[in-house]
Amino acid sequence: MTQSLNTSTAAGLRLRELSRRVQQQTLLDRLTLEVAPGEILALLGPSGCGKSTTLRLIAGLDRASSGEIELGGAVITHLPPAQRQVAMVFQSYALFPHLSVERNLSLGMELRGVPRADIARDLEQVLALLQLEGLRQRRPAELSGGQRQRVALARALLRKPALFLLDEPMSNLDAQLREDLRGELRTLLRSTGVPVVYVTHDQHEAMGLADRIAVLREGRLQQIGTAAELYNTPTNRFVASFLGNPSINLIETPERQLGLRPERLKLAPAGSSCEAGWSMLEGTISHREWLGDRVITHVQCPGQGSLKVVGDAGQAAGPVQVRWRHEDALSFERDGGGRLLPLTTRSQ
Amino acid sequence: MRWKLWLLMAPALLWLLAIFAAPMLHYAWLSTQAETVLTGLQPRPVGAEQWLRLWNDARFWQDTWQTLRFSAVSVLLEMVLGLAMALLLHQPLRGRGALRTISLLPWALPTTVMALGWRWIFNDPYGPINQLLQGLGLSGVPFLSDPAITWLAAVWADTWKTTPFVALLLLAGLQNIPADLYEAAALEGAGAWQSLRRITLPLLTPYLLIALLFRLAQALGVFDLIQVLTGGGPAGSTESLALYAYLNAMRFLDFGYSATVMLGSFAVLLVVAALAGLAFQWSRTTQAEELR
Repeated sequence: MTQSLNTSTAAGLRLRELSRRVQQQTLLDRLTLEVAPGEILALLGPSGCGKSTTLRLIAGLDRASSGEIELGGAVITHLPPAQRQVAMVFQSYALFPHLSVERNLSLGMELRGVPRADIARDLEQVLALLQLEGLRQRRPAELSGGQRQRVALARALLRKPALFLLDEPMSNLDAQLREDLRGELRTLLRSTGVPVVYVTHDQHEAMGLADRIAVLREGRLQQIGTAAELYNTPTNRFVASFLGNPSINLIETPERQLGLRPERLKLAPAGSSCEAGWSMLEGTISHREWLGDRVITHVQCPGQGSLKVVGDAGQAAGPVQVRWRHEDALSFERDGGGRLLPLTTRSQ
Repeated sequence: MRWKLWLLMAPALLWLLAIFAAPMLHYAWLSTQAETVLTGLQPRPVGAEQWLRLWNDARFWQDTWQTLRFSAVSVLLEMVLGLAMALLLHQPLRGRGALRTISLLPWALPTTVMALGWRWIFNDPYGPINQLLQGLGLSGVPFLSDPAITWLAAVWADTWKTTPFVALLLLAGLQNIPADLYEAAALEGAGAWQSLRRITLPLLTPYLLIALLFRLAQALGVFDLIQVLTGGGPAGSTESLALYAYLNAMRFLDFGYSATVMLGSFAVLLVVAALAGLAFQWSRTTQAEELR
């Protein structure tokens, strides 16, 4: 087993050309990325994109077909899960149903031969940290979804891992709780000071929780960067469409496809003249969604389908003009979907 | 409101009374009657005479011991081997489906057929095992004619037949344990043995208890296997309580005493069930204490 002990590199996580193929199918295709200590990286993508596969490879639950995983300067690609010092929060939480909360938390330490006194001390600490003191004798079946998640987090913390993995830990919680917990979870994960890999298919969760986001599609990394980078300068149409709510408008021009963020579009009276540096489309309002803080206006534009415009309540119906600044439009190759350099001088 | 509950349960209760309580009551009555060839197969009241006879019947107590011994050893073997077999069949092996089907075959065979088969396999000196032993230059084993060995031959035949049944029950239990529990345990540092002890066995307990219950009830009432394999011999050394009750009625035509033996063996069953219940209670309280 090759164990490089090069301590000069950061004690983070590094994936190099990591791949997993099962029979003829490529589940993950040469993924390369790094996560620094204390950094939260979200793996984002639709189901089947390879994000869970990546997590399982890092945890050692599945075997990599090729490539390398390095943690804290040591190559761990072929180590069994028990020897990786990796903690994982499962989507189902995977709590042991026959054990009390307390025993769920202490089992791992017992298995690893931690002295009794240390178990008791760490247990009290983590029970207090996650406000689980009142639940220590409960079985998992007697806990709410949020409480189960806290127990799963507590168990992962007690592992004292060199790396934290979370597999859609919020997907079993209701929407309100999910939003409330986001900040708490971020603080908690940050406090560990170890790299965190967080799998989700929810763009809001990824944006609100992670320092950087890696977008995956069909086993391939599309783009990695901060939420702002991904949103403002997506490398391709897929990333542009996956981030943003409501999703980006795509319109066709003779040479390329334009991506128009709904909140960058403006409505103007139909037939009004366009200033320099702006483009426009004429259309008819089909309907409006009133969402309290904003209004989404759907405009039917002949030949381009329906465009979503986010803005204040304005005109409610009838013909209207949709316009946008040239620098706000993202251009994509018509076929490949890759992003083209902006053409600020071009007008429609 | 209570009477409504009884009303709802009435059909099931009546059914149980008809098929369990009525014959039991009839046997209780019959155990106080002499009904033999001497009485012209007509019941004649004799009071507690037959119960006294049972109490002093060495053959009854010997059969009780033999039945308990057979049940304890065969059920223990079946549980251990059944668990091993279930664990094996649960592994993602190539050809697992075929393996599962094949391993169930012994259980699918009618008991009399498989007992005949084993009688031939154990035959001394012409059975395959003894032929093989003699071919190797060893002396044959009197499987079915040595009281010290024959009961073990019966235990073996029973284990061979019913281990797949236990394995089937336990396999269903294993399939109900989510895979991510094992993954979580592995990440926590558990090896195969620790996973088995800390996760598999505790979560399999309800299935183990059901298998134990089924097997104990069947083994304590063992009849067909013994009847065909050994006929209770040699020298009554494999005779079970059920076989003794059967012989009293069908061979000795002593129906009154047969009923007494039946009820006597029922009492033995109750004692075993009570002990098993106590052991279960005890294991649960110790387990609960361990949780604290």
